[in-house]
Amino acid sequence: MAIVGAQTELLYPRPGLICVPIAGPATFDYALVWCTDRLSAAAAAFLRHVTS
Amino acid sequence: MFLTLAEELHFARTAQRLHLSAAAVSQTISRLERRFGAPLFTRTTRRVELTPLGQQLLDDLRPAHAQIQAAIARATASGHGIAGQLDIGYMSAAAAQRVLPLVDAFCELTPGYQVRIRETALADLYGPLRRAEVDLSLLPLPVDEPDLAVGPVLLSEAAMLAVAVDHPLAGHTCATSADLADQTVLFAQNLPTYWIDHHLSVPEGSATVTPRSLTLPGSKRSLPTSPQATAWPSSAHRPNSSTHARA
Repeated sequence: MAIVGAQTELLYPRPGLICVPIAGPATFDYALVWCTDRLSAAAAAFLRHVTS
Repeated sequence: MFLTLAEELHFARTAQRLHLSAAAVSQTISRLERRFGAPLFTRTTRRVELTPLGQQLLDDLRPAHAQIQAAIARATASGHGIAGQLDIGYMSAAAAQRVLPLVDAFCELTPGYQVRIRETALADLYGPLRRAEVDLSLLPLPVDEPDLAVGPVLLSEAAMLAVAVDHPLAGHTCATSADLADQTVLFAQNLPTYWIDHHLSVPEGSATVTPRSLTLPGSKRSLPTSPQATAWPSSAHRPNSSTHARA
C-alpha cells in the first residue's frame, strides 16, 4: 500500500488499484519552495502574483 | 557529453540525445577517462554507473553548467525582448493542475516573462532547486530544509490509501491509523525521514516503511517515485511530464 493524494484516483485510474480515504484531517499540502539565497526577480514577481 | 551520460546512464540514449552514434559516445568517454587516468563510469552489459571519480566530477561541474545554461537563457531572453525567464517545478499532477492556471494568469498580467514548467520526481524533491534547474517548485509539505524557503500553501488534497482491489482494506469506507499498523507502506527512496513521519501518522514502529520504486498491478513499468506517483493514466489525460512552456 501507499499513501497518495486524493486526485491520484481521478488523474491516474488504474484497474486493480483502489484508493480508500484515510480518516481524520490527513492532507497533502503544497507550497511554493525556493532556495533562500537565490530568488530571481521573475520568481519574486510570480510569488507576489500568487499571493496577491 | 559526460553530463548527458551521467544523467542518462545509458550509452544509446545519450547518443540519441546528442545525435551521435553510441560508438562515438563511448570513444569520447574513453578518451576522457584516459585523460583523467581513471574510469568515470562502470559498464556492465546491464547497466552504466558513475564511479566515485565520475560522481565527483559531476558534482563539481553541475553548478558551473547550470550557471552557463542560465546565462545563455538570460541572453537569449534579452535578445528576444523577454523581461525575464522563470522555471517552475511541480510535484504531482494535482500540483500541475494548480500551477498551470497560475502561470497563465501571471503571463497574461505580466507579459515579457517566459515561464517554463517541469515535473519534479518525489525521489528528488529538492534537487532541481538546489541545482538551479528551477527557480520555484510547488512541493508537498513539510519542507524543513535550512537552505529552502517555503511560501503559503497553494493546494491541499486529502490523503488516500492506495491498495490492491483484493487487499483487506479495499472494502473499507475509510482507513484509520490503526489500520496502517503492521502494514508495509511504500515510500519513495531519498525522502526525508520527517516527511515520511508526517504522512505516516501511526504509532512508532507499528508500520513498516519500505522505500522502493513501485510496480503497479497490470503494468510492466516501474515507477521510480512516490506516494504521489503510484499510478499513471491509462489515457492521455496526464499532464505531460516533459517541459511545458508558457510565454
